[in-house]
Amino acid sequence: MSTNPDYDVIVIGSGAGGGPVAYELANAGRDVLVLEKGAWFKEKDFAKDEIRSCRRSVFTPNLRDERHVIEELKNGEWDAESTLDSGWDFWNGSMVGGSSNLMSGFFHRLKPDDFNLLSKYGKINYGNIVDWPITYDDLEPYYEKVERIVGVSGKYKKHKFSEPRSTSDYPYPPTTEHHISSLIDDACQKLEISNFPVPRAILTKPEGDRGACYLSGYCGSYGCNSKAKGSSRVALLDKAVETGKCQIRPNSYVFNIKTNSKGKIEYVEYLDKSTNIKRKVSAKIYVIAAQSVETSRLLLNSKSVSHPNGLSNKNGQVGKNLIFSSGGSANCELPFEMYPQDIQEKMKIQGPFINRAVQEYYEYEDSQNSNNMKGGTIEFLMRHPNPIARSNYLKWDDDGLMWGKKLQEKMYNHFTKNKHLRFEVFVDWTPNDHCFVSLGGNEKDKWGLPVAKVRIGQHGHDKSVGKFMNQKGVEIFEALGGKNIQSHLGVNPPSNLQAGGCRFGDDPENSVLDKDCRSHEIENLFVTDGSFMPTGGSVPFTWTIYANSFRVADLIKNQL
Amino acid sequence: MQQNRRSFLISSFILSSFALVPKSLKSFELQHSSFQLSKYQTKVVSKIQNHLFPKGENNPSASEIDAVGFLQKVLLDDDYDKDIRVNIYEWTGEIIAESKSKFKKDILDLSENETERLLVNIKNTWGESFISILLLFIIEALFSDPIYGHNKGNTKGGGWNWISHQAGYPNSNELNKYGAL
Repeated sequence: MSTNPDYDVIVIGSGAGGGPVAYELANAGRDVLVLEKGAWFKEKDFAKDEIRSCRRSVFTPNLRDERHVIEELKNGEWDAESTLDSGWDFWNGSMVGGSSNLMSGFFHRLKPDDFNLLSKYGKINYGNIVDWPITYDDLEPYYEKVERIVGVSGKYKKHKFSEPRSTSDYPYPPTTEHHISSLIDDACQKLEISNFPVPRAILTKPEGDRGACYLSGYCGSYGCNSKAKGSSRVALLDKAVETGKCQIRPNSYVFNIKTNSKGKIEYVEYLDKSTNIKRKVSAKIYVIAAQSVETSRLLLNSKSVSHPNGLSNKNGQVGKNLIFSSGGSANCELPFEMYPQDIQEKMKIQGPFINRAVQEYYEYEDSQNSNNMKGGTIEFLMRHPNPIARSNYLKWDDDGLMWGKKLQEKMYNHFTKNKHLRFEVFVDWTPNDHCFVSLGGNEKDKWGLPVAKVRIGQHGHDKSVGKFMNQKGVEIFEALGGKNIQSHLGVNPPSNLQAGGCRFGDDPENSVLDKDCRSHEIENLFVTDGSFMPTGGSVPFTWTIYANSFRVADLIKNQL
Repeated sequence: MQQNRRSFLISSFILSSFALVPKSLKSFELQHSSFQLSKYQTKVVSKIQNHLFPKGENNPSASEIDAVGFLQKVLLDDDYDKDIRVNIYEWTGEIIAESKSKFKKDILDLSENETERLLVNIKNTWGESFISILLLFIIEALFSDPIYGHNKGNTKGGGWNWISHQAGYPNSNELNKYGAL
């Protein structure tokens, strides 16, 4: 390769971790190249089509071509199975903008105590909890920046565990709310617990080429047609391209990172999937943001004589301490007949948001423990309107499969006589020795590269916290008159909430990145997706990933 | 966020452990170079689908939404899970054989009552996954975007109308719909 790098910065992956770096560096006049494995979809490519968006592999790789191996504990043994066989799809959105195109946009900041979980709550046996090397105060300006640049709507309400803010409120007013929001408010008041309006990464007024939300009621799993949703693609990458300093190459599958004799990255190799031609490209600085599992996989696959265990992995830390979000969920029915006619009409409306969460138990007293326990967040939402997914679930009852008139009656009553409310619980996933990414051995992708093998061991502590939180959510359902409440503890990790694997820290012995998210070993390598997170907080991660990527972008800017 | 497909496949996989699994995918492929249902197989599948999802007071039947036509498109979709497609063929053959064995009749000649007994019997023995998959594709056809031509009945969007479903906006168009359907 030439001694003059082709670009200032190459960003591998274009989701919430990659977008801010591309945006900031391009706006600072630096030459940026974004390599994205997936296609570049635009608004015209999106529709509220359940088959195409949710039931076929259009926005994610086909498992026949690309898959994972998942290791689950079965009868005391770790059992590895390819997702091609199990059908358990671990992909989340392979396209320009990544899975931020398909998110629901529930945005929560971490709390100050989430940055020092070990110091605050103490060690958990068989857990690998460490404090973060930065504090909430370090990240707060970047949370605020995300509010303005990505666009966060909401109405700030102080509560027992609300985090400090440098501004008084969100830059965009809250989305239109459903009547059910007031029912949740009433129920919480009755129980004497606080709740609050949930901020959303959804614009409620036009901004430049981005329109306001038009209340379709289809956010999660679907691309947004008005650009209201704050995906990395519309909020950041489109703007980065407009500067003339950022180039995005879709369908570019980076499979190897090559270092030179000085231990710096010299170039990356990628497959141009549209032509099937392998290419090399170089930069001064390389930023990986391919989402936790795939970021670890790329580093582990980038082996060489000087890096026999993969890149940045001398201490065997790459892939370790992978985390998800623990918790659970519950659904309940709100029969229309419970309400007077005028309220029934309001209940039937689809589109407005619920936007309510409870963090009353973000920390709670537990009679079994002398220390207070770390709890989490109860997030209320409308059950997704997807009729295929819901009907396919309805075909089962306690006696097994049903069909004919019995099934039809059940379907009809389900959809026409009730509103369906749901809550999801977010609690910490304790990092542990049984949750990590390695390589899948003989299991290869279409191009012959080892796939990621993901062991998904969950700590028992998290299950008990999830059980406590679920019970609190059920009490709220009961207080608002919910019927047929069905509660589920989180047995499997949610594959769309992954972090860790390359955690940051001051000690190279037990971390991959330093506090700036730069590799301890490779001077010109940064990681800016959720991989850096040693612990995940008890909220969805996306806002934190965005904020941290903006923070690292500032550090890179100062270095170039 | 593809949990719907995942949960379907996982449950199918678990249930499949009690089912008759194709002995050899390779030998099957030699016999079936194409995934086209024969005319006879089409009639058999159509009869079963219509039993599973009959005409109701307000809902269209499997026949009215051409559920068998939808299934045929799935079978021809090379991007769709091959094992599932192979299983549908195998299981169709199994149920034809089961009818002959239990009732000494061609499955197309079974009465409604006999068809119900046949389905209950295979559900309790080897066929729960088969019925589950047939129901899945009936449901997919019924509630799919009307552009695919199966969400119908007395009116376009008949499946959605039956359950008062409020569709999102925009719907698919010819340029962005799922190609294999």
